[in-house]
Amino acid sequence: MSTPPSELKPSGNVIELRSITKSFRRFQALHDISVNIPTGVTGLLGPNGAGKSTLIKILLGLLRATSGEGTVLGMPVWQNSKLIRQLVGYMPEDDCYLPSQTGVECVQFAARLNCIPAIEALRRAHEILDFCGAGQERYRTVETYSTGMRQKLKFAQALVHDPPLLILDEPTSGLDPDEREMMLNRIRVLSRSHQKSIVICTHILPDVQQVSDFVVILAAGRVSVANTMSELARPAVPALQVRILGAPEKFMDALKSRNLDAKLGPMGTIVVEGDSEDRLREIWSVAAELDVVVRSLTPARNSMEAIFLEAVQSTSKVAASAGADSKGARHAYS
Amino acid sequence: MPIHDAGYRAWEGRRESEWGRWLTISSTGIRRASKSTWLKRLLFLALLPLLFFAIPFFLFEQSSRDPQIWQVFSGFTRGMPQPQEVRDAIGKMSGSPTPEQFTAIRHDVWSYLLLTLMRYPQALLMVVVVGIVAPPLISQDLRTRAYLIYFARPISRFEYIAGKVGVVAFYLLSIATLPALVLYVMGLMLSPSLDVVLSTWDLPFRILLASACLIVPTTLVALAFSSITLESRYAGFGWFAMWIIGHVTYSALISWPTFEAAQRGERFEATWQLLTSPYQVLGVAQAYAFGFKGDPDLTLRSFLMLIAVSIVSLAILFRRVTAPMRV
Repeated sequence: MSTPPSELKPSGNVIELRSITKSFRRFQALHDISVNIPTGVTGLLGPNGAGKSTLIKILLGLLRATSGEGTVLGMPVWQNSKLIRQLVGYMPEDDCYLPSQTGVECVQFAARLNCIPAIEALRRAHEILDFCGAGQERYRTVETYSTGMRQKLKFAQALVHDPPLLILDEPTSGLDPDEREMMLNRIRVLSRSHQKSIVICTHILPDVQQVSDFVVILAAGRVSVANTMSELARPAVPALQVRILGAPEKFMDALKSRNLDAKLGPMGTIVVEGDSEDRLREIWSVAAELDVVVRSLTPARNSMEAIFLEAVQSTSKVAASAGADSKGARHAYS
Repeated sequence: MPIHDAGYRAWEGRRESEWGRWLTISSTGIRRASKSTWLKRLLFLALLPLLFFAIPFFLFEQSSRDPQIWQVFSGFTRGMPQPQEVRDAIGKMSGSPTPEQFTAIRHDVWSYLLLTLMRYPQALLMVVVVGIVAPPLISQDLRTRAYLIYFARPISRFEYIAGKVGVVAFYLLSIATLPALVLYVMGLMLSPSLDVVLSTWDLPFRILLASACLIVPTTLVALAFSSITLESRYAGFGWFAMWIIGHVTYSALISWPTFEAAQRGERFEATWQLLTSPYQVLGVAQAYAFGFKGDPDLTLRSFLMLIAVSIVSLAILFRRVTAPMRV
């Protein structure tokens, strides 16, 4: 009898990787990946070809790393790959389904593969499909499903055996804004109310910003950034972000006339350097003077786009220089 | 959202033994394949030869009481292909057999009738049924990326392949083994004497052995075809082509020697030519399983060929089912 997932709830880091490299003949997909992923929701980001899928396959024990070692839920990946796959729910990016089966049959089948008894698997499949917001569509064959319904189905298949760790590859891709928000809510609920650790692999950066506690950015097979969301979002210089009703130019000029360093930020916001109480008071008094409605006044945060672009560009430079160095070394050797 | 929805709930049930995972894959595959109308028709068709083969069983068993019936029986079986042993045994008895002779040849005759059922109608149906069931089993998983459904879960390559083998084996058991066993039971019921059980008790085991000779290599070859392509129709084409090319080659190789032997008034017995046809190779192995020894060298070669084909197919399967994961 295999160990029930509840007995193996992670305490610290859910994933720990040390010097993982992976080569496919001459192509090196992962370079010396060392990262600790804590409990909670983690965003795994990276441009196409950064090595995200390869890393996920290694975590699931489907691929063996060329070198390095790692643990998932405290268990060494290579020695315990079957047990790890029992404790991990994986939602692949690609559509993967058994044709001519209904949605509920697909989820029941996923439960059965995880050794849940047949009747219980059917009951659990319905329960999870309810949670995923799948209505009567569950009785249709999967070929007839829309993209949104297929995403729900894959999510349900990953979740049906109640794993402590979920790896979701592009969970919101192809969803309309409402569905996307509902999917992110489900992720929040699972993480906050049911203590599930979730790794979200996505290209949709606002999703990561909304739900992630920790972010790992891969670029050119290297870890470019691995930090908490709050740390990454904090700007180098403390600042306040003001959003007002109406055109911001007049308000900004008034702030500048009081020797405040104000700049126009994204989406019509005004970024004011400094976050002291005096600064706050001055902003409110300017607003009162000009009779301007302040919609929001919050500490400024780095946008995920900016963090991502900076991380990818800096790592690409490192990768390029490493490539040039190795070429140089080869020339010198020859 | 349904009104009874209570959000997410943890699951705290008890899991089943992990040994049954391959059975889950098999049962799902069997259920999916059974949706084919053609397959249902073929499964029904597989039972019809029983009605035909029940006649010689009845005639043979009744001939111990009525000598007239022996003539009808030998006439009935004359047109059917016969192994040397059976031909000799039946040929020796120009008149009706004595009770001693009858008991002596009963095992051979029963074996021969059961072998003929498995070798001809059921083997031909086997080619068609496997050609319907097996091609999509792996190729469809590769095309729809359903392999991730299996391998992202605690399923090993061995369990996956065992599950798929189980699907094909189930249908082969249904069309080859089950009818043969039913025919055996019918034979027992049609016999007027009870000592038939003593003289034929080993035949159910021989049916199982002959079924294994049929099921293991054919299932593995069919699945190997399915695993090397994403298009199940190509896998099906390859499967049928293998049988047709094998049979055409065999027929071409024996046509001239058969003609020459016929001119001399002799009967030509194919030897090495049999090895060019998968159908004939299986026939040699099944005949051996029913106790018809034949040429020992040819039998050995046939078994070696079946074992080699099974091992190569298994190697292809193991390599191909995880190929998408290696990139």
